[in-house]
Amino acid sequence: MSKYITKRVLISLATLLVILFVLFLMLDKMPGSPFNDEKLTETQKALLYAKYGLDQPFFVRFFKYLGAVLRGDLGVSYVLNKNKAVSDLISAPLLLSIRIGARAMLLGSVLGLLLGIAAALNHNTWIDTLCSFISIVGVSVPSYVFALLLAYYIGFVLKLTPILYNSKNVSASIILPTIALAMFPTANVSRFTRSEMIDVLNSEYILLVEAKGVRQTSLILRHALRNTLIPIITIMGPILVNLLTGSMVVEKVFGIPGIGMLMVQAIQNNDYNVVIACAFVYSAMYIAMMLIVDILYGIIDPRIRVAKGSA
Amino acid sequence: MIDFKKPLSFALAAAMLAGCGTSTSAGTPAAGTDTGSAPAAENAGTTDAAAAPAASANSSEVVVAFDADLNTMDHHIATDGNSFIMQSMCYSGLTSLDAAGSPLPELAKSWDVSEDGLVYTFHLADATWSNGTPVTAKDFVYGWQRLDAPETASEYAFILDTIHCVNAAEVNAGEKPVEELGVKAIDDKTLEVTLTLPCDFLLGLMSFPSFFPLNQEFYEAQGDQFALSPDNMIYCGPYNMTGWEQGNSYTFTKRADYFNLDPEAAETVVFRFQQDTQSALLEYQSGNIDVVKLQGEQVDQYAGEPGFTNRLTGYLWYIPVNMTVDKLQNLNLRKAIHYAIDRETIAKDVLMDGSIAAEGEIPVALATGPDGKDYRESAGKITEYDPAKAKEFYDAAVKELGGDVTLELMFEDSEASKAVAEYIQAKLKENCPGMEVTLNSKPKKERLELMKSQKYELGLTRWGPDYADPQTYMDLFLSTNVSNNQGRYNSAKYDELVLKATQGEDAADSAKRWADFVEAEKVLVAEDFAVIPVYQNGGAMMINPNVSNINFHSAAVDDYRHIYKK
Amino acid sequence: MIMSDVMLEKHAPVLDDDHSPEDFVFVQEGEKLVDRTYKATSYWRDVWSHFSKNRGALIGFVIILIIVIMAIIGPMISGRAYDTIIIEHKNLPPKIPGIFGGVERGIDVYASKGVNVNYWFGTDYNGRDMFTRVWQGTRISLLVALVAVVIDIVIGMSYGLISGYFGGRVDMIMQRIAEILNGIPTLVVVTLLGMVLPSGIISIIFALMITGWIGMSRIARAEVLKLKESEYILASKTLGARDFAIIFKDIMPNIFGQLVIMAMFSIPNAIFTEAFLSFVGLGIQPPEASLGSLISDGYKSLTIHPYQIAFPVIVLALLMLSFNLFADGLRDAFDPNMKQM
Repeated sequence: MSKYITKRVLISLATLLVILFVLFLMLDKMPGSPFNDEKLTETQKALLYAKYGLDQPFFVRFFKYLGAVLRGDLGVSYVLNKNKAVSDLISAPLLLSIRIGARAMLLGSVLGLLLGIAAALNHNTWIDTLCSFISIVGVSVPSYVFALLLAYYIGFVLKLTPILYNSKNVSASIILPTIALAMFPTANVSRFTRSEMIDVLNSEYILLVEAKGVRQTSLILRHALRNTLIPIITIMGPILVNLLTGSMVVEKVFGIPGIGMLMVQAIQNNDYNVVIACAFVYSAMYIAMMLIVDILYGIIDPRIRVAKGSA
Repeated sequence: MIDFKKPLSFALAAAMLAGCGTSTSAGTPAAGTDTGSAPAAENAGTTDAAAAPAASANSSEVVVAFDADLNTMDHHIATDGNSFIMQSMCYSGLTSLDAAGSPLPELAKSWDVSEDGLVYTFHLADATWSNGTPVTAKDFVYGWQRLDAPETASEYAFILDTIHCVNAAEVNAGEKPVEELGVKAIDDKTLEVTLTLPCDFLLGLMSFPSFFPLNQEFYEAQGDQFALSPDNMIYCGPYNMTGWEQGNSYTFTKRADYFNLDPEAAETVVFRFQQDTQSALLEYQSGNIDVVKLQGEQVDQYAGEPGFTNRLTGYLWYIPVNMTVDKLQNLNLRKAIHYAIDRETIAKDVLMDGSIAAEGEIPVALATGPDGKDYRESAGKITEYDPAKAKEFYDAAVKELGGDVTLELMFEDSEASKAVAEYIQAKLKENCPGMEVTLNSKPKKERLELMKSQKYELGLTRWGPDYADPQTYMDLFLSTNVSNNQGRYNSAKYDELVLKATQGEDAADSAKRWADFVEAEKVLVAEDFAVIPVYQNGGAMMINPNVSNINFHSAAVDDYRHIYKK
Repeated sequence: MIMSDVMLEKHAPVLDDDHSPEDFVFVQEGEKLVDRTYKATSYWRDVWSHFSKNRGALIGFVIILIIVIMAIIGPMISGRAYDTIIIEHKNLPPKIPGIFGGVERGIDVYASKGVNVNYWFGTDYNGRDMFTRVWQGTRISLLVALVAVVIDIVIGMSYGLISGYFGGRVDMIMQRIAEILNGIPTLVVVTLLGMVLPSGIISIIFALMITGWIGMSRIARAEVLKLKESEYILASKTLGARDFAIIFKDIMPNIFGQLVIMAMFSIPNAIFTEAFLSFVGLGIQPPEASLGSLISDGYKSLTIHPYQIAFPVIVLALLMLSFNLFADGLRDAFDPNMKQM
């Protein structure tokens, strides 16, 4: 197992390195430059390029950047917060986004599980139909539409929560974004839970447990649910990715200074170092999540390890 | 499976129904039936008036929403309007502007101008930095030298050359040391600025952040951390910056020890960054924001409500025709485009935000001539919408070019630009039957890059004046201006007129200078049709009726330093 | 359920040869179980019988059909072009006599603006007919959906098949490439691509092409890994079949059904990606419209003219909903044991 983990970690690190290169290359080929304004003259532009070393050849810049990254220096922002170290610039937004994302994930998983179980236990009744309908609507309505509806009805009409992010009242102002973001995980987890649960409930060992006369509650909680939960780990990866995506628009709607909004702004402004750092953070989180999911899965379900070994 | 599932499924069902209710009633609110969504929408209309005045929970705090973020507090490297506005909160210049845009004494209590208009001597007031050290002439000299130094690579270094400050261009090009820049400290309280040519608008421009002072000792102590957080700044303006949350809010607190204190001004001013104007407007209606910009349909909706304010900005949107494209070298084609665009409708019906149709390449209310009249009044209206002429010229162009023309119109991906571009496309097709027009939307920076390298045909772009004089626009279309003459317009007649006015024989004679500008603009817009002016930007906003004393300037930085809340 | 049918089919000849129906005394006379099984088991008919029993799938299919028909005829029946700007008619609420009154906030906008034609879905900020634009936009979204399926199948399947079949170093390299592409969040790739490429439908398709197929290739690969050790492949190899012949003639047909289902699931994703791209302004060029760009436009005035976003959102949601239902149903019909992904 530890050999497998070491191998996976090494591969992940190599992947990250390649991603860094690809990102660097993409930005280099991207039209436009961080320094472009109606007022900017060619001379000024040349001065700025020289100041930030952008006039050097591609590979020189890449290896310089790589060296700096290994020392923990992500460069400075060119546009968004001029001359500020990118590592300082992204830390607060990142923490905020993770905070909201984690809550949305938690809320979505719990709600999704409850919905899925309710649907499975009431298979082929109106409750099942309702739950399925809700989960399909959940994956079908764009998150930004949902976010704005929440802002309008709950924040503005009912005045239950603040609409915009307010640094003085963080916990209250991230309620709506959390709900908006939780929509997709809820829908997905509930769909998956439902189908897994139905499978498990129809399996022979549950029949056996039932035949043994185990109580209903204990049957569901101790036997059925446990075996339902394991496969759900597999969909956590895609859900997390979706959370990252969703966070971009949801942060825009609620004015949250998170990493998603920072990245959108950085892309719009060609703020190279910030774009690379944000995109890199996304990739790193994504790859780390995938790694953790795989390893967890291997630990929980020994069959996977065997399959991996043969493949 | 009984005892356990029921309460759970009921709770779930209830929760879901509630969730469903919100999403469906809102997803369709639309429908626009007589009942439908009306209650909610009506609510929005009526609460607005009621909610706004109720906002004064703490009357000494004013919250202003911006739709673009703060980029830097370093006034020598700033380039965007919002950064300038915030810098003006906590720094002062030699002068400030009154509501009408005329210069008032600020850090300079008085000044003398030599007879030939080439030497300005400023006498400084007894102001202090927020750390207690006095503001001296040396701080100005150091600030200006830093602005011009090639190492700073300031995008606004050109502005020193614009006022004709001695050696500004040479210093910036690295040909001369910064010490040779035409600004000297005679003593601690006397600053002398020498120019190569007279400059009519110098005093007003002294309120622009690029000309603000910088305390050398403090700056050098900060190293590369200068102006990156409130801890790394000292201030010479009426406010101290006390909060900086990137991407969210910026707080300014009034300085008790400012020498020119406005006792009425709000104690705290908070600038909130909120990109989405709809949520910002909801916050305004809830009373949490006092000043908010309106966009698109919101303008139509809120016009007439108490607090609705329409202001005119100095931004002129125009289409520089790319003269390097063969077909566009055809004069009749350019004329057809000029006459086919209905500028009035664009301003009144497409934008509706207080924008006005452009009457020429120089906006209204930018500059006042030697005769005391607005430039536009002297120059008159030189743009025209005339479908019949458009068709006539287009037919002529088709004959000369040997067939129908396909043009591409480039624009940036903002809401307003998109609506205008779509409308122009429709009008060109309608008024020049046979013409094909395609649209090309690009992010702003990319559009600028493409236009600056002539990779476009028609492009919708804008220019904001740096100072209150037609020259800020006239310089753009000189054949020598490689950076801004995007269409590569090249006319000896135009060059001659403009250079005569700005650097030549008429430079010292205000009346002749003015006449040259009027003449040059006519050549550019109504003879060569090389530039097609479209509209002058307005800015519609909602301002809490209890808030007053914001000075909007069309050719200078908006002034929130005296903002006051009942 | 399907299992029992298959078993019957396999065992039927045995029954027929060794036993006569008279041996089974308990079978009722009218039932004729064996005969009935014989005539009804074409694979596609089997699929259809399962599919048609799934109400959700059927509804999904019907809605898709209706939307497709409307996308084809919608822009024609309104009698208006999607790009005709009548600025005097801007922001009119929907008006269909008897259903929508053309009223917004209690005011009959049609009367107050002196408009005496009806816009079924209202008009947008430039006075263009929303009805025409919605169906025009649906065309684009459906086109994107179609392209997504094709890309998924062609690229994703081939990639997975080749990677899985050859294994070893080829597999290692191909999987690393896929992993890297997968490691950069789709959104980042798509947004950056949007900046590099000229915006428009081609870019959207290209963006989908780069990222859309990875999920599919994984499944294809997993299936190949299962199949390639089986006897019939070994037989094929022994008979001297070339590798590519084995991959595309022997393996592909066996997993095609499952992959089609997977592809159906990628449709909503593709439509969503297009909508997202349009939302961040990297979508198709105006005055063209897609559901995504219409939603993005309507979103800007959601609190003022909600009908402008409602219709595209409803069509988009219905489209996604029905494709999801349809894919669910298809999966149940083709392969009831396949897990929901």
